[in-house]
Amino acid sequence: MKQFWFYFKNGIIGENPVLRLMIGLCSVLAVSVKVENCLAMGAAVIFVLTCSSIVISILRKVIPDQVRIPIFIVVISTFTTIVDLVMKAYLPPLSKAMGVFIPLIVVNCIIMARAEAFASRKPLLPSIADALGMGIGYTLVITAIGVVRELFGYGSILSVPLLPETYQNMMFMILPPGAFLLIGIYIGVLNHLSRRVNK
Amino acid sequence: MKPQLKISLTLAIICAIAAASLAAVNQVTQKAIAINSLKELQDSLKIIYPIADRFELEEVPDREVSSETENQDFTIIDQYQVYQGDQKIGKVYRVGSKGYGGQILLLIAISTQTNTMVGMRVLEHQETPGLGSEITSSHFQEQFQNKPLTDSFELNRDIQALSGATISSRAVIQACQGVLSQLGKEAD
Amino acid sequence: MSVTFVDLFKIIISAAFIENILLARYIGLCPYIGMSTNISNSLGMGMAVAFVMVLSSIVTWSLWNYIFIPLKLEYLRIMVFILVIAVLVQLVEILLKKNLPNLYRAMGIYLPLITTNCAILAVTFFGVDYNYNLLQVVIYSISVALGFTVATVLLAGIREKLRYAKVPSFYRGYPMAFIVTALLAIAFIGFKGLIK
Repeated sequence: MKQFWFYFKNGIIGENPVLRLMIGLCSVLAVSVKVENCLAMGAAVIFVLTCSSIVISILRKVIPDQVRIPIFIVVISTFTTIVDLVMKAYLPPLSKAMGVFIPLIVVNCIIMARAEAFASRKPLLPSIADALGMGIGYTLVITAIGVVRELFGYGSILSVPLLPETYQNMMFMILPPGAFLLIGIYIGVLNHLSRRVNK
Repeated sequence: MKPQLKISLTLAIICAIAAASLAAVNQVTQKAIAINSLKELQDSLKIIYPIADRFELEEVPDREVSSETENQDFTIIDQYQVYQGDQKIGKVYRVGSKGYGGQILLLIAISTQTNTMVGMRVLEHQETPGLGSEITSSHFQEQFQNKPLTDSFELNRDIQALSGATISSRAVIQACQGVLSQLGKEAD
Repeated sequence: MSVTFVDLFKIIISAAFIENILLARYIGLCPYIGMSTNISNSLGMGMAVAFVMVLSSIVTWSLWNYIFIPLKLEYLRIMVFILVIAVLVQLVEILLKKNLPNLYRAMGIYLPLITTNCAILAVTFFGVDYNYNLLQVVIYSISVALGFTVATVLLAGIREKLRYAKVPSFYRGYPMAFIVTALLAIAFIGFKGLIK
């Protein structure tokens, strides 16, 4: 049980996939214009990551080493396609808003990296813990960026207007430069904080 | 069992299971997906032409699409006959027009009874947020409501351009003019 | 549908600069950030990416138009496209190793990394979603690869110089890379309006 908790926490802080391992970046910046998109993306990634990790961990003794990458790809793309189809069918506006980034989950480095580094080598329960931790760590970061971008870019959070009517939307935050700037700052801040903690 | 055979077999089985499960999910969701896109279009048609009872897709076999225009700045995607009861009262054209950030998808509704443009509605666009994206705003789209077809449809003449978004505004005008010229062709 | 030279030119300019896949569409960031530490790495990766991008675009486009659509297998798109890319990368690796060992050694680690380059998969999707014909697909994929390489080399050049600059300790490395990318992105926004 302690082990489970350890791997779970690791995914969120110690080895946060976005801010520490620098993986999964594309979707974090592209989707984070509105908070509701961030949460949806986070949910999708958690789903694909966890399901893929479960399947890969269960099959880890059976998967031949030479074809492991194609097999990972098949498993991950299956769950990604499921998310894509389900969203198109039951959540069309959200699916449109996220656009190509739902199918791109299959090449979201986080999922591939964890399959290779963890799920294919560790038993089921730790794999689930790692997947959930990484997924939640990802969701936290993408939402943290989304909150700032939506607040300054649209004056709202979760489409609830928070700033006065006269507020001029800060376009910078909606466009790419704002996103790059924000994540650069976040990584820098995390570096600073972790150095402080380690001292 | 030879190792190569085992490898291929494992790969094949996993692929087969994956493909099968996807086929199943596809079956289940296909209907909902088709209904969604249909519903979206129906909703937009209803909004742009509220007095209409129904819309029917019109087949226009000899309508020249993008091969006739020199560039793909304007294309007619499809057109709908508008009915009130059994009477044909107008048409709605779904068109694409090249804007600043990409193609703008719009609906343009014409009343053949009153010879006016009933309205214009932007469906999809990739214009700059805050500038070109204002083509979806009511104060811009209002200019196209119940507008006599005899108007010139020119920027800064009878249509006010959006400040800081001339190209986006022009794209909309271009779409209107394209529809008008198509109407003229169909009348002949 | 006849495609004029002007149309192709428009595709080149918009794919490479106006809608630069990295700086305007956020796609392909992981290798971009990871490999842009010096110019020669970036050029090497750019070449490898271009090669695989064009090849996979052609193969997937053909598969899509001649097999997927007639057989209504659209839902298998994600799986098949990424498998095609993975297979192509393997093939390229094997071919290079056998026939052009020097080039293979020069490309080194970039080759296997390319499979997870979101940009390649994204371009295969766009190639079919934009209803391009084969010529347009080829031009499009080359242009995207060009834009990708230009942006990466630009960042690499700046990062090389940054190593000698006085950057506050916690911003050194990746944070600074992102901040510079933000500036590059602003610069590239200036390309908008280049094509009416």
